[in-house]
Amino acid sequence: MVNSTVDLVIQLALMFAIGAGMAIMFITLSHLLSPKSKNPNKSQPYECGVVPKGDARTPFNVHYYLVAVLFVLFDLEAVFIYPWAVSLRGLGTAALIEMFFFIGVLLVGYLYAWKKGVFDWE
Amino acid sequence: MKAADLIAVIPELVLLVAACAVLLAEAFRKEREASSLRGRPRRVAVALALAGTLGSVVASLALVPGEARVTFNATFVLDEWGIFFNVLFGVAAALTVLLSPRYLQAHDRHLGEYYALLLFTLIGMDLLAGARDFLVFYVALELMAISSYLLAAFFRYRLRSNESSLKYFLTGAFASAVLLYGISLLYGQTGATDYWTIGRILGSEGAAPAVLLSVFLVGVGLAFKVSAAPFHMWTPDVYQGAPTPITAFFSVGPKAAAFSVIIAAFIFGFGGVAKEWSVFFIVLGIATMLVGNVVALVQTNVKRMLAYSSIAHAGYMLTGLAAVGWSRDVYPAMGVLVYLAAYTFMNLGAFGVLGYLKTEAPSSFDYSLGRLAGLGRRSPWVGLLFSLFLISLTGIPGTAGFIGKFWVFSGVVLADLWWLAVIAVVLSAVAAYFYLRVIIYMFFREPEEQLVLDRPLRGGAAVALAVCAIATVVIGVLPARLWDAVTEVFATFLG
Repeated sequence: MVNSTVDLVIQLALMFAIGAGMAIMFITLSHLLSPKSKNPNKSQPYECGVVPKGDARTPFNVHYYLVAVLFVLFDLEAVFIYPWAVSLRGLGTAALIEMFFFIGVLLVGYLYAWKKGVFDWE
Repeated sequence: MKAADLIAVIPELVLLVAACAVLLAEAFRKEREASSLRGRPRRVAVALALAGTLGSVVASLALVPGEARVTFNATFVLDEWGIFFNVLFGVAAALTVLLSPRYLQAHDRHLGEYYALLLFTLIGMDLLAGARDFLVFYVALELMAISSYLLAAFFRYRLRSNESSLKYFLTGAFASAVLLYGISLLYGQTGATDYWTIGRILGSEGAAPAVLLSVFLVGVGLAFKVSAAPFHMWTPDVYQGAPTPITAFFSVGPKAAAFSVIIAAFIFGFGGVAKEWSVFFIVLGIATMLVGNVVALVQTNVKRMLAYSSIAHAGYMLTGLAAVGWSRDVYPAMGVLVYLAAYTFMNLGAFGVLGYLKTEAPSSFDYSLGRLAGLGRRSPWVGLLFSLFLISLTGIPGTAGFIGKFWVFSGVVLADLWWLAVIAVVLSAVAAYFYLRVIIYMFFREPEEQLVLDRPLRGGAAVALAVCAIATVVIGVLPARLWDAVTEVFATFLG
């Protein structure tokens, strides 16, 4: 019992040590091994080849965030529908009704966003 | 899934329908004068939210089963336990709905979404109490938590409300990560996520380090949610910055939900290492009572003082949990359930009175102790009401607070942890200082500047505070019914 307990502690410690060691090793190695050529242009932020100007901390149109959130929402809906569609034959009518219910709940969210003017671009 | 499984989640379905109806009603409102809309009453939303919360309470009571409904492949159970918590949470949410409209109108931020978010939080809480599987539990926890973050930020034009929400979100996300790590380790060892299977497999393994580590991680994650020291740092800032009715709800609802899940998961899942997690909760309980009570002594902001007091109350309940593990008996857990019920009403009441004061004097009342001076003489009824809740929080006989403390501490003594009960009683005597100080300020101090309250207590807030006051007194004087209900809960709980 004592031996197996010690073994388990060692296993656990090893797991943590290897996990931390890997992270440290990769960062250190890439720092040491990577070729370096110093150039002031390289320390500038990359903006698709355009010379950056001004401060990045300016207010963005809130629509960007809203669209991003809606994208996540409805993209995930699609992710759920794929495995459902593949195995629908085996699941029967209950699964069909469930999916309508699921989409119905999302539809409430969609209607809400619509009426709140999320899709108005003016 | 079988169609019959849906019967067990009828209370949650009622809430879901109500929440969607509130959202749609809000979206399809006819916009009149856009500028003044935020200060207008939202009768439809309030009515739907009340109908939803009370509907879920009625549905739960109607579902009182002869036997437990084990549903969804034994991941969700509706039994006396689930019904007890559904009713407790539903009543707490309904009282919050009643406390809210005037407060929000006074702050020009009365939106229907508020009620929808409250209902979503409630769905998460109800599912938490019924969950018997770590994945269902985790999803329900996130539903509850994410809705709460949004509620904390409801006054989004205010720095404090934003600070509150961000701190709640960051600590909550961190706690979730710790919890998930614990759950993943459990799955790695047992290949299961439901409480019973995990309990059976871990029970045969004994106190192996990997078991202890995963139980510890799950415990730490939940300790964040009940704001146990040293994981309480977020609580005062979050409670102070959130809208007051929401603070009232946070301090009773999500906290009670976290306690319900601690009791269920630790008894069913981690019964094999009960002594070990008992020691964990003893340490947490002592630290929590100490930090909550001692730091509350120096607070001059009453809302913040009540936040620390809610930390201290979590500490008392943690001693009850520790006693469950120590004695391997559910008797102390029955005390914790009584405490949760008592605490719900008295704490909602105390925060509710603060909410009323803020509603009537939005600019001049800043929750400071000095502002309360002379209130008892100018508005004796409000003063008496607040005093009742504070006396109950102190734990003076004749009030609900005493009954809760009595049963939790007697459970602790019967578990042979009498020294822990002594520490708890001594610290609750310390607490008397900061509760009674507020009463002294209200009745025996001359105000520097009189707090002007435009209108007396009325409407929904009056109803809610009356319910809280009556419940506080009735539980305090006639606790037998509550005790019987809790006894019944545990008669079927272990099945």
